[in-house]
Amino acid sequence: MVVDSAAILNGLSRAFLLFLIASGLSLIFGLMGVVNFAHGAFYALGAYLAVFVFGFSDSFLVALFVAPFLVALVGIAAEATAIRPLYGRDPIYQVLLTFGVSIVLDELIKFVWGADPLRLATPAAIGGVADFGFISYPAYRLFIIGFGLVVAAALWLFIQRTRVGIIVRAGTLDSEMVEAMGINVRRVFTGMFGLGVGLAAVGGVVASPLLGVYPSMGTEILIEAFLVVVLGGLGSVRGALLGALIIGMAQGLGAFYIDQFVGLLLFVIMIVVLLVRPYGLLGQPGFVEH
Amino acid sequence: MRENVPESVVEQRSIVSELRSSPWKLGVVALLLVFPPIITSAFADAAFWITFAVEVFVFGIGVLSYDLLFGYTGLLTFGHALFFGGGAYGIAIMANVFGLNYFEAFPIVVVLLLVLSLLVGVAALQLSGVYFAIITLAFAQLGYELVLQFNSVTGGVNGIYDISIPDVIGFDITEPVVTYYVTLLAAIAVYLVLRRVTNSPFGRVIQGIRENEERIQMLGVDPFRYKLASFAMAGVVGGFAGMLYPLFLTFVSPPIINWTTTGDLLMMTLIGGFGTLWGPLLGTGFYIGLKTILSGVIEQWRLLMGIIFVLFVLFLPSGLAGLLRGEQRTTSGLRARIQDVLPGGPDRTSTPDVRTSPTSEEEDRE
Repeated sequence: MVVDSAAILNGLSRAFLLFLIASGLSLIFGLMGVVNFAHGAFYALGAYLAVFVFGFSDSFLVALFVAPFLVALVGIAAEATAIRPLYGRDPIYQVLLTFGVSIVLDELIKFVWGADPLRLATPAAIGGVADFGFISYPAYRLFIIGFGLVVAAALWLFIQRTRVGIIVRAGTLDSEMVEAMGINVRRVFTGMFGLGVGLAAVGGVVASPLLGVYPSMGTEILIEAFLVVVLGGLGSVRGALLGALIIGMAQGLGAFYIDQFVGLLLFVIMIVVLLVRPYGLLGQPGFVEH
Repeated sequence: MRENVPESVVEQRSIVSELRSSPWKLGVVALLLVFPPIITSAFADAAFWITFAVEVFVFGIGVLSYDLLFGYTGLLTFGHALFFGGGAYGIAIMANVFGLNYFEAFPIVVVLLLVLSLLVGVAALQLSGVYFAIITLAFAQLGYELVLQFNSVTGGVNGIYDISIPDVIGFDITEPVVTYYVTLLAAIAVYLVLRRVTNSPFGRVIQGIRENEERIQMLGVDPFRYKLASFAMAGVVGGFAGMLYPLFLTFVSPPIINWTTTGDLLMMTLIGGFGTLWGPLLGTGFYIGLKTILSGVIEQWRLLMGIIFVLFVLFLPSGLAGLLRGEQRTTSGLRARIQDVLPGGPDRTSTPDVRTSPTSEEEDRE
């Protein structure tokens, strides 16, 4: 069977875009047990702030770094004021609250920027088409793949090789024990929530030149991000990468072979995975109790 | 288990004697019955207010069904729009594809809703907690995608406009005042049925499942069957609300089956006070009232609604009902009460859970 190489590259670029968003979702869940229903809203906020920052700086690179930083600050503020008081309660309350936060952010975006779609121009340096002889492919999509790989590597190093990473891994297993060791877990929670939504915002910025900037972008990506983390296993960053690759490739190849029904296919995959293996391919069964 | 049952219903009485003994209820019912003639004679834009009331009744039925799941059974679903929208679309599709009128389609759609909710319920109830929330969301968005995808059946993004609703014994039920009384009676009927259900042994079991599923299982009861029954009932009643929807809008379009509809139902239920029946109805009135006022002033009325919702989740999870019952006078009492109204409740697990124990509450306060 001949598989179109453009479809594969499409799938890969989609996969790494999804990974950027889903990794943050997975980190937040793994550490805090919070299923962040506002993740899509933070992704959209990142895209809109990138347009805003781009308006001042005229530089995609500046927007790529400043917008997620601003979103992380918003996330930290949200965690510290609204989510922290709920850690003692049933996890359902965190779902309710992040759902409320997503409505507030979505509507705030529409209030500030209006409901009409905006555009973030593809940076000129990587705006063209890369020609490899056997295939010509948009350079920007290749940039997404490369950038996603860099972020994945950086996340891996951060979690495996740094002191904070150790605390995060330990906190994922047993946050009370970590607290008993004299570590301020709450502060780590807050920081990781900022990092997690920051990653969503990075995804939002990177997606903007490709998919455009519009109010419902957050909701659309949220469900796909859920799909990725559920497939890979909530709480596992490696799982998020695996899930993103599977979903991304399914979308890339699906768009090529089954056209518009790819959206339906994704939901069917999600429902089947949840039923057969609710804790995901690389997740741990214990998390089902959350 | 706490007493969230109104005293007046502990003993089953006839509606008439109940109304006679309770001036409050009599007043509310009387007010609702005489609302249309009064409003028509007093205001030039009476149709606007009658449509408003109809919207409250229709969403009120949807909210009651949502509350049966979320408030009484402790199942947080993000997929209720599938049934609410499914009921509305069911009627519309029957008209569009098979040329059936409203009343011919009605029983068929009820049966289809029952089948759909049983199928979705059997699958979704394999999971619990946040996974249940995610899978119900997935099912509902699958429905939304299907509606958008199958243009020829559903009208795609445009929806369906030509739904024929014949007269009933000479009454045109799309006439606002007639619709008013039809939906009012439907809302009262659903309220009475669900009050009966939640006070029945079945209702006790589902509330027991909300409080502590393991303990219910230990008593020799299979929680799955009860949760499925509750899910199916909520699906059919929620779908029934959706089936009334074409009466006052005469068209059906995709937003009704999108997850924002579930979000609306959830916010109405929580703001009103889940786990009671009258609270969520109050929440529906509050929500649609505020929406009607705000949407004239600012386009992003949901912004304020979202903020109100967040404040309720944080500070008053028992909702307007909790506020009116005067349970939460002091802030120190507030925390204890918040623990009290959790779907999980303070004694949720038989194994001690440090997160919900009083000691961790002490730490929170510092």
